[in-house]
Amino acid sequence: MSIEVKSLSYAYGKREILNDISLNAGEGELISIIGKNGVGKSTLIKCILRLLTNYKGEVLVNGHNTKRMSVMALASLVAYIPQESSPVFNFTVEDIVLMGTCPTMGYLRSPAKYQKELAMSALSKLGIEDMKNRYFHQLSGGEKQLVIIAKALAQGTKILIMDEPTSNLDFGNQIRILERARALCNEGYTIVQCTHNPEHSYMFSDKVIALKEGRILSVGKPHEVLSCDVVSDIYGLELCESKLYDDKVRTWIPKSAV
Amino acid sequence: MNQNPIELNNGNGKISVSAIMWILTALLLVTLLLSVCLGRYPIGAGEIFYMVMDRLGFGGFDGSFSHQQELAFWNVRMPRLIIAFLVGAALSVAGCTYQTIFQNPMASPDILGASSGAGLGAAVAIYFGFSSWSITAMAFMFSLAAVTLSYILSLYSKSDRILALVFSGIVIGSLCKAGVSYIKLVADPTNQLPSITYWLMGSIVGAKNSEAAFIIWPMLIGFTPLMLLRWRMNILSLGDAEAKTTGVNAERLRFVSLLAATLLTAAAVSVSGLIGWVGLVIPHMMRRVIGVNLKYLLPASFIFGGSFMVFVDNFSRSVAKTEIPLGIVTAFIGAPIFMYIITRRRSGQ
Repeated sequence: MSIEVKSLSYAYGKREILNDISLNAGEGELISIIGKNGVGKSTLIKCILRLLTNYKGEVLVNGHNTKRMSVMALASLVAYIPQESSPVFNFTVEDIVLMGTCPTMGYLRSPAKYQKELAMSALSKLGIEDMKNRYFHQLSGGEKQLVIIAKALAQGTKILIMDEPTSNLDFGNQIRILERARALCNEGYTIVQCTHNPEHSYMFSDKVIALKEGRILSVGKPHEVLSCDVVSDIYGLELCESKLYDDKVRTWIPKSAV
Repeated sequence: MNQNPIELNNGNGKISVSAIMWILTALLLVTLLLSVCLGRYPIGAGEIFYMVMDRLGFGGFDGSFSHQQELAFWNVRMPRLIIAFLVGAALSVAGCTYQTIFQNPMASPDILGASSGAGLGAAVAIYFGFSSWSITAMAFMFSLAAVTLSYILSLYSKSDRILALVFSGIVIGSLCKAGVSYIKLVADPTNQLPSITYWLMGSIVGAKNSEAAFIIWPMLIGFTPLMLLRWRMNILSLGDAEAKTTGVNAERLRFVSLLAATLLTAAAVSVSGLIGWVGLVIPHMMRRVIGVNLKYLLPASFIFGGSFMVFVDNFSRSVAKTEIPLGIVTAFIGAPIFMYIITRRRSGQ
């Protein structure tokens, strides 16, 4: 399972959003895309998911161009986890997760025993089977996000694309979601996420892609990319860096604060 | 939360869902039976049985019912019953569908101008003195035309697809209403104006077998895809991006559902005139009873919407000397129910 973006460029009218972006995510890798607001992270995610199609370049999943896949075929390879999911109607958790099994069914079918098993195993993989009969609107932000991840797992894909999956969550839930994501990668899932938190991407990622002005500023292992200079450059701040616990953790502090 | 009937679905899910469906079906059968029996010529259940057997070609029932009863049953009550049921079922299923595809619980079947279009078609037909059959046909065609126009108009909009549809629906709807007002203004005030006004109030007085035969086809064409695709339609309520990445071709599914729901609405309003509230309220009531999953919600809305309309029709023809137009009764019943639903703390909406 792999996902590859080859020199992708995207322009909105005459305004260039992304320019010559390439990335490669192999099996079991967690890749974080960082960059300031409006740099094109979400646009890149949308291109990867084929929600935007008028880009230049190629997106390949397992070597196949996504533009030549059916909606169903792509959904059985790549799943999407948005920043926040808010269905208008108050479905039960089981209903939501069962929606994920859509690519395993014919057009006129509805979930049968096999799909219910897929949904249950997705829930139990995340340890939330007991939430099955609860109503989505009554869940906390963190619980909702876990349910949406379960829905993605029920799709049967091994590639998860997450658009700022933790940015609406409290500190504890941010860490819990990222730990789950990390554990999934250790099981062989491939995750591409964009994030606003360089410290988290340092702790949890295998690879970091830093974007600036629609281009790749730096790409590589977290400890290579996330230097004080790069982070300062991305966000336009004057920072100083602390390396903690044998450089397992890095934190950046504004100079004005110290 | 305790008094919420939706709690029934928890735990042992499907058993109680099917129990609810059985209760709704039983309710429907009782309503249907009552509505053929009630009326100026009382008909008993046994006589209905004999009449049906007689029609099916079994002989020997000649003395069991009167000729008047036979006429009342086959030519007055049956078409009326069928039309009332189909109109209620169609408006409820269409309302449910529109609410899902517009991701908006406030959407109703006339959101794209289907009702206003039908009203204009009927007004034009009455103004030009068309026959009652042509009034139905014109209402049907104008209704479809109004929705088609809204759809085409929305394609030119730069805003979000769903919002664009709602906006263009409002535009086309109010244009049609203006058209109706103009025709009312120029229509002959002694007989045309009253019949336009009466048509717009919604009524199935004098429903004929030919009308039932006319609407049954668009209704079948409308109901079939919605029933077949109903589980998949759930996914549309997550929004386009999530629907597509879950394997649903959102634009195509929305288009098909929109088309089917529009056929249902157009067929319903073309025979019944403007009947509000049903398409909005019945789906909400059913969501409280059976939950939001369209797999169960759509059939439940079909059954209960039909029963509700048959009930309302019985009510409107038996409560007063002159029949009260259905649109008025549905508003008097629908508005308080809706008020009740939205003021309750809830979990299933």
